[in-house]
Amino acid sequence: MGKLIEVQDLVLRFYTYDGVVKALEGVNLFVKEGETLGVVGETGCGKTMTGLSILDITPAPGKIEGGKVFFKTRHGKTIDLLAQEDRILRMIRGKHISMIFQEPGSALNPVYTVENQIAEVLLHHRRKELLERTLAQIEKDGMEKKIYKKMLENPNSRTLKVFLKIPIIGRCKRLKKEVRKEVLNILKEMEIGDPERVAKMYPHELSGGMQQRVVIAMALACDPRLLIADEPTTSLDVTVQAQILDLIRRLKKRLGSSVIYITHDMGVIAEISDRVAVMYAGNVCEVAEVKELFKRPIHPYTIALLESIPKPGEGFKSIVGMVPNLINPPTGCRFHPRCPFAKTICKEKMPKIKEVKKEHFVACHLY
Amino acid sequence: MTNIMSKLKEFKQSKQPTIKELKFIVHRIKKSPLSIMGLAIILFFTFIAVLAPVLAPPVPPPMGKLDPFMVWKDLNIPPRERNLPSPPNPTHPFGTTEQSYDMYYGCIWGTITAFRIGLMVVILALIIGLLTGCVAGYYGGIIDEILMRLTDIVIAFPGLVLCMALVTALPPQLTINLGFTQFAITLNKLDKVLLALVLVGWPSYTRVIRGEILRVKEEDYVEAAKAVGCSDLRVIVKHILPNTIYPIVIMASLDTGAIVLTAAALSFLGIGAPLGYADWGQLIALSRNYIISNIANPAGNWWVWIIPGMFIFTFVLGWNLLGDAFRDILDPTLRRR
Repeated sequence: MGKLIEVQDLVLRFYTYDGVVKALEGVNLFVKEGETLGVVGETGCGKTMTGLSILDITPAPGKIEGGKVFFKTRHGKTIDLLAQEDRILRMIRGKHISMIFQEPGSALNPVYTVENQIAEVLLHHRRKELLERTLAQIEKDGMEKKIYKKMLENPNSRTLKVFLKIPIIGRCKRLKKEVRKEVLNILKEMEIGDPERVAKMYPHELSGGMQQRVVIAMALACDPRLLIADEPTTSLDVTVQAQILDLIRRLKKRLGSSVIYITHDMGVIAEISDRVAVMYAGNVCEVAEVKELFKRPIHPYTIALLESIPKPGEGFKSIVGMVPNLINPPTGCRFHPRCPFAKTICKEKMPKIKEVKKEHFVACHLY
Repeated sequence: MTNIMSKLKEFKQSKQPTIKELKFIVHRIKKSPLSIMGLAIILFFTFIAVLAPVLAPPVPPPMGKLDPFMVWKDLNIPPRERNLPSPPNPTHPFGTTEQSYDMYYGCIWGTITAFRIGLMVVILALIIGLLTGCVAGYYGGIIDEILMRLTDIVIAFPGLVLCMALVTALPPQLTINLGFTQFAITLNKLDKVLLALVLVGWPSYTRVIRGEILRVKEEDYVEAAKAVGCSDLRVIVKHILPNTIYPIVIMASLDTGAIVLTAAALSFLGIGAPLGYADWGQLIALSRNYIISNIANPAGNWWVWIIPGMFIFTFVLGWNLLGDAFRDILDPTLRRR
């Protein structure tokens, strides 16, 4: 299996008044085709930022200062996403790589109905395909057919876009019908019981689980090859969480896409992922297959993290200390102030990530 | 026949969501009687403005002028009494004001002037405000800094005083030099008022829009729109603006009334519309000396100020009430609660 996406030495910094926040400091990751990579870590360790960096949409004071994100396109070419023009990136976002956000309630625009929001994605990335389908339906030769043919020739032309804005003439009834059919299809795939009714609703009229389904529907509308799921189930209750996880897993299997699943819930990670990357304070500290990681964790942080999972009958265990301030991160290994096995070298040199066993990578001086 | 019936049924079915939406709007308006009142007032004034030539047909010279917006003078009144206002009578339903201008004609045609000033100023200021506010709020940085300092400069002056200064300072002919071509715009007195009000009014829109955009910009759905591959323009127009426009629509509606009031104030001070122009402020300005007619009978000349005063009052009230109605109708986040 080839690598679908590979992140190399990604450096992300935020220039704030208090100083430079070194949010990501040399992140190395890769995702193979068709696999699910779980990314775990405490709050503020850069999981979400890694996801946003892959799409190159990091929020305002953030700057990607180094590193490469290699992505294998459908034609088998490998491109560096961070070096691409904005125009090309816009084609990739949503179509080849899409993202599910943490809060389904706020990831949906409150002023549009569900149908409109999904239709936007469809019209943005799959206009050509939808036009072809519509054209196939028209039997009569005439004005209508001519217009659709024109549209198909150059789906993104400015004049046409303006033309479509004219009321009555530019209605494109058939295209709209086709889009609507597709939207309902997608909603049905998301196991929404009554797609016709849900399609007409505004986001705030839906429950949290439903909203998340709609967000997933938007993300999967164009059959992306990589899905970045940023804590999609954190704000949902456990029963809905299980449904959503099931849904993501099944859709993934059907579309054959890869998933980067970001969460801080070890249970969810064990459930859904093939491999796991553990992040701490802007670094990846351990990557391994899920069983291997849970059975034989190597990095002291991973060990501590696994021990802190609450078990019935036992008291809570936590990791001593706090996540460091990323403006002045500790020198050397960022985990050393909290690490029970810290040596002098840990304070001085940042460990490089290396393969200690087959498919088991770790960044620690102890190994 | 059945064919037509079935087609009609189909049409009804296909328009079901639209009908539902319209019904909902009516339902919302019905719920707040004040918005009905606002709507009714503005509709009433629109009706007057549209039917002005019928309600008050222009009077041919020598009594009237060729321009229908100039109020006609009653020359039948003996010259000695011409300077004094005369009370309502069959030829002058609202009476006459100083210099025997017909009050009824002035009030009716003044409605058009009020709409023209209010709407034009608000629309122009809104366009400028939208453009500058969007750029400043979305992109930030140095452009934001420059635009905000510009608005600060304008806001630093009291509005009415700045308006007066601008109206007096604006030349009667504005030459615009674009480098390759050059053209001149002739400004009459009313255009100057319009321009001055726009120049004073746009910064408040810019500020509000910028603030709203700063708020919405951070929302997840904007990030999500970017993740879907939308361009900046699309993100602004389709995702940010619809979420920010409601306070601005309300503000614009309230402003339409306020602007008419300011224009009236300018006219009252004598630097607004030219003498004899159909404008409510002008009519009040002409009645300045008769607000208290004499000590024995203070309200002796009531019609000269109460009638145009009532016109201005109701017009402004109408827009203020309509502002709330707009919010109820337009904002989907307030809906179905």
